[in-house]
Amino acid sequence: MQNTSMVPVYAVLIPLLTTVVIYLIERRSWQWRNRLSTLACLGSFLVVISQYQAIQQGSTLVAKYPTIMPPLGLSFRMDSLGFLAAAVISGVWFLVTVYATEYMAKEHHKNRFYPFLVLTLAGAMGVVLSGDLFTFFLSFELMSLSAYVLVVHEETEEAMKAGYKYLILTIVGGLALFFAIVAVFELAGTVAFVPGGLIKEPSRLALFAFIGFFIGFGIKAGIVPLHVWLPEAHPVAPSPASALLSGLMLKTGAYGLLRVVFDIFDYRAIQAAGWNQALLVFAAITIIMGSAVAITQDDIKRRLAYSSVGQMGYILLGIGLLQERALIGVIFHIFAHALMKSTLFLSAGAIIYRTGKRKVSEWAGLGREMPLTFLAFTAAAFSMIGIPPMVGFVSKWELGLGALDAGNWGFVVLLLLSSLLNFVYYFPAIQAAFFGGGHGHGEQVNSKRDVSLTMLWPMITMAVMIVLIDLWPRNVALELAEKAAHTFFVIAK
Amino acid sequence: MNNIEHYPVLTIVVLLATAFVVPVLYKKQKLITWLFLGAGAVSFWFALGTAARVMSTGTFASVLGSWPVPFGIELQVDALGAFTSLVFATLALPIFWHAAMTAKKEVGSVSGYFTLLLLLTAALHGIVLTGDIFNMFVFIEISSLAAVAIIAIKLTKESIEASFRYLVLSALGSGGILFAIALIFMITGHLNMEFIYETLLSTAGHYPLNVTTAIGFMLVGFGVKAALFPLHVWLPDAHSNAPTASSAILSGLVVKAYIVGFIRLVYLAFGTEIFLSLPLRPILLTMATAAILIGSLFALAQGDLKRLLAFSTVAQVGYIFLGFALFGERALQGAFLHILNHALMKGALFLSAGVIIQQTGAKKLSQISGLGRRLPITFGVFTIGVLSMIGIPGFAGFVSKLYLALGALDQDLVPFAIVILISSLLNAVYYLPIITNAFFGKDTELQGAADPPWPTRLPMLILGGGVVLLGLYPALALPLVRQAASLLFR
Repeated sequence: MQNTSMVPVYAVLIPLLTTVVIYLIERRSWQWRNRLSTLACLGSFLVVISQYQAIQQGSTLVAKYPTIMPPLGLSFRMDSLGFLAAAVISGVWFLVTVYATEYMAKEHHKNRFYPFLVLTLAGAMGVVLSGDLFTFFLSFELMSLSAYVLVVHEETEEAMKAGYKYLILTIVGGLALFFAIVAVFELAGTVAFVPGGLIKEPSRLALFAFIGFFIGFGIKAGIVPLHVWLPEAHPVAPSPASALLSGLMLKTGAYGLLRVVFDIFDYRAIQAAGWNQALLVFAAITIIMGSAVAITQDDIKRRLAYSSVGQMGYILLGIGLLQERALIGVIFHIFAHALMKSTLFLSAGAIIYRTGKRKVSEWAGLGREMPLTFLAFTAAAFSMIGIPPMVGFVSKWELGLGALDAGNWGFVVLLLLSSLLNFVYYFPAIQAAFFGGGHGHGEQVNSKRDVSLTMLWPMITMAVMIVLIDLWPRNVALELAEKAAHTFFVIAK
Repeated sequence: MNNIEHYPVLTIVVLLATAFVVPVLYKKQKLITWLFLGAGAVSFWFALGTAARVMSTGTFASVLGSWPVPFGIELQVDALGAFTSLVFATLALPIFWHAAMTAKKEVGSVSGYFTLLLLLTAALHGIVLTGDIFNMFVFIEISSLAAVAIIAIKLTKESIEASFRYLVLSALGSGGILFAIALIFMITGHLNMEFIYETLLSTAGHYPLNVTTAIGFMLVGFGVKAALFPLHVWLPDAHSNAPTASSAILSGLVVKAYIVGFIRLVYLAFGTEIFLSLPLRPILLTMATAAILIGSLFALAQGDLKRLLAFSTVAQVGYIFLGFALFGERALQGAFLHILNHALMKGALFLSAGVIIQQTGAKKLSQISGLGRRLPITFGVFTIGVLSMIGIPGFAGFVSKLYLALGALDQDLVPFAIVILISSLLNAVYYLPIITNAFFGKDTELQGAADPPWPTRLPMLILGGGVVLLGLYPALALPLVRQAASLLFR
């Protein structure tokens, strides 16, 4: 059921237009700059979730503007997958922006940071609410390029170097996507996302397009070996930006891949041609590599960044299985990992903000000094390891079942192995923080050293969601994921 | 408006006549500045009228002095000519404006400079509108000499050396074109393109050697003038040592006129059958690909801002030839769109680069570090130009690349689509560090610099705005471009 509705457009326009307003007023009032930045995210979030009822009833909200950029035209579309992704992105963005108003207070160039923070949100919302590949591409480039300003915010030599790598790989990814989109247009005469897909037959050009999509989204999502920019760019950004980059923007790559596999290609054509096998191989490499390298990192932000690489492997794995249950896991993991990784980066940021200690090996005893921050960190870390009833467990469960449905128990072993690796690199940090540091430190416990409430409540909110969402009688996110996965498979038949 | 058929002639005549008035009044600086800008505006109006007429009624002829063809000269105004003429007239406005603002500082003789710019623009309109090959040759000569002069007018050692090299190579090109015209006249006895075409239908078979030689000489002659690789050697020096307004006009408009002139000869005089029967497509495809890749690679190695822009022009000329040589409907649309888009973005780049040099004295890329914070608007325009060059969606360059890539796939020639991608990547590699360095790099000693006053800002802002406008709303240019591309498939 398709309904014409401006809601997806508003969700994009609110941050886009607020960027302009922020740019105009920021020199006069920093309070209003901060307020408007948070309000833009909140506004976008509220606009999205106001449509919950409609999405729940199975309608798809569509807005089309074919005359704006012919021959491709702009269009926006919100279905259950788009709704879930848009809600997560704008919601987490709001929390991170609240956190940033305190975290960034002592930083330089804030008048550059906030407009670009909000502009990047506009791009990210456009990505998940686009109705065709072209609008998707436009938003994708807007998001990626404006995120560059967040990455190089510190302007140190290290940041500039990481930023350059990020920029060039973003362009490479953009060009690969460009080629793929042109190929799709050539093959199908349109680039709209259509349930059931446009390309039903594998051909040489279709394969090129598929490779183009894989490179383009793989770079964004940090799939090994296209991940080289990620472990450098994510840690050098200010912590709120790292949270957004790792927690949310990586997901747009996964989201794009989902859309392409199911709404541009007919997934059965991909299955028949065996292209998903390649996805599975890359997924396995990514999971193992990401987790294994994470263990060797002492810098917490680098460790978290490598962990994100491993987690994106899960998502790729689930897509590659082309199987309904695995897909539920994928979609739910997009949601779950956004919460977990954002919480981890925010709490790590709070620790660095307060103590300046980036190295995990220096964390001994800190947990007693900053208990609430570390509680949030612990909740998210346990969820990453996959301890029930946290959200991370649910996605692993669904993915594992999906792998079994597909008759691939090898992947279940892989998931377990990866959980073990997660344990290896998260648990010692927590253990040292709460119980390490010897007795001398224990006596100087000073709970006032925890960060202020403005920084605390966004983390705590997300940590509570991580723990409670699955204990709630109705897991709304899981319902939406099931619905989205179901549509992909049912409509195709 | 029943006299609209005279509009194309008037476009040229207004510019030509003003060119002769300006030197006479050389003492009244203010007056000639206004005359100069006024002529640009009036010719723009006429070009607009011409384009509107072509859009509504199609190709029309405009006979000069009521002398009937084939003895008299006629302008053959088709969609391609009207489109390019409109592009020239539109682009000339901001560039003239910039010239009027900066000429006093950059060149010695202001009235001389205005005269040359007017003559040059008049000739460019002539090249793309005329229906007579000898007339075209005359315009080519005027434009070549004027182009040489607007480089040399800076009177520095480098600019004189560069313009001399340009003069010699350009004269060689003119010789080639003239020889080709003679060969054609020998077979057909006509100079009017329409008549040449009709005569060639029956006689071309008898003189295969003449036709082939003529086309070969044409290709080399126009290739030199349009800087098609490997005949581009004069361009980087010439474009980088010229005054800013000259660089913008040379890179944005002049090379395009020769490309369009060549394309018009191919379909108006020779006919596409002859073109396709000779192995010209593979030759042009090879040259265009080499231009795109090697031009970008050379740009990568430049340390001087304007030289970098000049080498990038070599690559962009390759795009246009690539679109033409692919010879599909969409590829041609891409090529013609790129004529407009590249003129806009290279104009924006050259004007902002000129302002940067003028305001800060920084000519080298290494001196640009941190300047973006001092000149945010100028570097903002430069950034728009760069993003468009790379082909980021939302900017004009993306649209032409889209059509070119689609055109390559239409012909099932995937490698050429990949050539476009590689070149876009190279563009990113050599352009983006300039911007990131300017906005995020460390401050250098050039601290006192600031954006120029509004009158100097506006021309580049207009060009930058045009890049965004055509990126978001390419439908403004598409109807005329579609009509122009369909001309080659009659």
